[in-house]
Amino acid sequence: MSMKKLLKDGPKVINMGMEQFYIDLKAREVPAVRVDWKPPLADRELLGKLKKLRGGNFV
Amino acid sequence: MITLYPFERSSDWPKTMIVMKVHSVYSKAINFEGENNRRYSLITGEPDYLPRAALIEALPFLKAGETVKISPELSSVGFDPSIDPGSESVNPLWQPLWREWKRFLLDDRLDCLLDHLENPEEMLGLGPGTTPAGDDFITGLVTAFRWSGVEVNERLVKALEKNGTTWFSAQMIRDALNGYIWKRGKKLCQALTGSSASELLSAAGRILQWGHLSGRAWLAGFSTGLEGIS
Amino acid sequence: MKRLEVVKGEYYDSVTLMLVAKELKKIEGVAEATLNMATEANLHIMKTAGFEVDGVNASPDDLIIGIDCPGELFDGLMETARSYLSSPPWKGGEEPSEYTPRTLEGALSVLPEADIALISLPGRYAAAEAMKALERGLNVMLYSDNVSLEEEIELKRYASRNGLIVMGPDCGTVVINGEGLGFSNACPVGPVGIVSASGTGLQEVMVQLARRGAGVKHGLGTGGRDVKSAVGGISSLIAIEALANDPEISVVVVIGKPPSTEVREKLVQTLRSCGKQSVTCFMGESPRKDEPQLKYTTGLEECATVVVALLDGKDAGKAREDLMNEYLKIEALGRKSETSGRFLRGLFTGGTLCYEAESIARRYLESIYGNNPLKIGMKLPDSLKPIQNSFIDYGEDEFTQGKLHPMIDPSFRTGQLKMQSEDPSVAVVLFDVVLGYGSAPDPSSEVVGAIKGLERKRGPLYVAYVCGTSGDPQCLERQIAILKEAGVRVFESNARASIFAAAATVGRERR
Repeated sequence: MSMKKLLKDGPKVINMGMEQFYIDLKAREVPAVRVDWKPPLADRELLGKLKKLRGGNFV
Repeated sequence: MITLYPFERSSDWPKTMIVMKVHSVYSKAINFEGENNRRYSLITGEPDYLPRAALIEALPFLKAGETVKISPELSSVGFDPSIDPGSESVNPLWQPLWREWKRFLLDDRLDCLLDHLENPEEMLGLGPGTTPAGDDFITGLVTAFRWSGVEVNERLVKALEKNGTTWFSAQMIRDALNGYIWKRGKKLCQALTGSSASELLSAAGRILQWGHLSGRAWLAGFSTGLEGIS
Repeated sequence: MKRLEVVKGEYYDSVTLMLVAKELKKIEGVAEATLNMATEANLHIMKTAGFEVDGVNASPDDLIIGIDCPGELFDGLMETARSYLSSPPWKGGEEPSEYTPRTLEGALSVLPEADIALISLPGRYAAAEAMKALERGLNVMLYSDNVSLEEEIELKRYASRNGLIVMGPDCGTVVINGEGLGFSNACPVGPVGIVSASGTGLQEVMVQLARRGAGVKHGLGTGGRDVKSAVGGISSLIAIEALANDPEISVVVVIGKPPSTEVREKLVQTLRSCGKQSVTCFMGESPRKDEPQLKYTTGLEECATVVVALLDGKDAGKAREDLMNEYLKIEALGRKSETSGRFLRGLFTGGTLCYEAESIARRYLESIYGNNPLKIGMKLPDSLKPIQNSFIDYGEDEFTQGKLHPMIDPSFRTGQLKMQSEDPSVAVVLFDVVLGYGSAPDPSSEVVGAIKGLERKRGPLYVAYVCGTSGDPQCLERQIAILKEAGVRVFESNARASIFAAAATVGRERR
């Protein structure tokens, strides 16, 4: 979506961070989705484990 | 001995009167032990439908160990717990969404499952919760396989059929292996083949509301299963 | 007894931390409870509040919980704090009925037509997420601060190559087709387009326009550093072009602190050739002569006044003159007012409101200290211990690392306001109350609580400006009434309140 499109038809919002901003948008019926964000640190750990999973032979 | 008359039932509920022993009593459900050690449940809300369940307006006052008769006479069929294989029609739009459900395993209370991803049968009976979270994960995983028509390998099936967990959990896993599923899970499967975001979000949301950690673990298992297939 | 404990490596958003602290303070025996990420700045604040932080082993990723309570209660309260963190009592233990995506990809599958990402994550993660959003074709509003200059430049260059815009970092307010993102007020939609390097500056101009019946279509933020030479005005220039090309916009406005010389030149050139009436508001600059298509203003209310004159086809010079006459009357009123003490303290939640107020006060008062002073050499050695005439912006990075902005959680500013009001040398306390979406639900009551609890025999003169509209969730009229009832002098613009407060302090300093 280019900036032109944003100014023409927007805003349609993806909110990452403070939930209040999302709540305020929804209250005014602005199209919005919230991301329940967590720091990426633990992600790496999970990805490591999930890599292992692909080697699993339970199927 | 009292006789109970539910007004609606799942399609796998016996068509004749049955006599059963009360196993456990909760605020919204009573579990009974019937023939062959099988679980039967009386519930008050249709979102809580599970295999071998019947709806009743209000739960009678019963204690564990009591025996009751339940008559299907006045009830109609309100829920079919069998899974229609249909994962091939999962809307590809939702892939990023179901893939992220694995992330529930990052939860401090569930990360004990991470070490057993390669051999999910080791999760049997593992983890917190009245149905141990490992069992919920396995149920989600098996459900994904059944839904997609993929054979669960025999090693896993054998391991799961061993008596390694609580009575209730064992029933849940056995149902999944036989291709029977809870209503919340069925709704989710339907939403995944559809194109409505709000339906999918509320279906997934309702699973999260299920138990303390059960829903999260189930979704993680389901996601892992879908990923393994695709 | 003040004790603290470190919780290692757990992430909670600032709202959760604020709410848990509030819940703990409700418990009997708890005099103070504070939950913060263990940044240097937060440790300093805790130390000033009397907590023993020396030798504490904690990194900015750790949570630090401080409680002031009888010693025997501490362990139990820590237990309560932990249980509140894992299952917040205000959520009633229920999971939300709808699933919330955990990743940007997941969110995009739910809203594939999304056109902007509003990012308010901790600064050290924000740039990476902003880049991901850009790579997926989203424009970005970057509310987060503590993003490095290098990251800002990289993001903005990437956006500009791809037909996108990055608004921020440190961008509190954006308005698209009349809909506000972040901090914003309920204002009418109209033929004005604004590019702003400052959040509360944009809010104040929109509010002043609204009070004069004029509306804004787009208000595009850029972040304060955009107009410095290093960034070169990348986002400002993109935004001006876009507004100039919009047939529904008849006046283009550019707001901010004074840009660097070369960026200023680029902005002015672009405005001159944009084919529309335009107005700049570079706060605190010396006045310049208007050009036929370009008007120069140096104050936020002045800017709104001139824009309205242009919209109405009236003489901008005359409108400005009328406003200045109003200001003279307020100044006279200020000089006549009575108070005890000698100095002025400006205690702000809105950064640009603070900046504008200080730049006005400088015309009246010789030396003004601050945590972000206009004049080099006037920086306070300790922002928590203001001296003489001081202006503090509680929205500065030092107060917001791992903490909520004071417009959302005014409690820290309130505490400081009370403390400084007790200082017998303080004659006037000037403060802002910013209403609108995103802001605290009842900020005036919060301040009034502090004013009413004052122990000083004759308190200072309180002067305030409430930035908001009748349509805001907090309701402008109600917020003003609460302040007035407590004896606060409330003015109709930030400039007016500042003039009054400074004039009321003049001549007292040397007593």
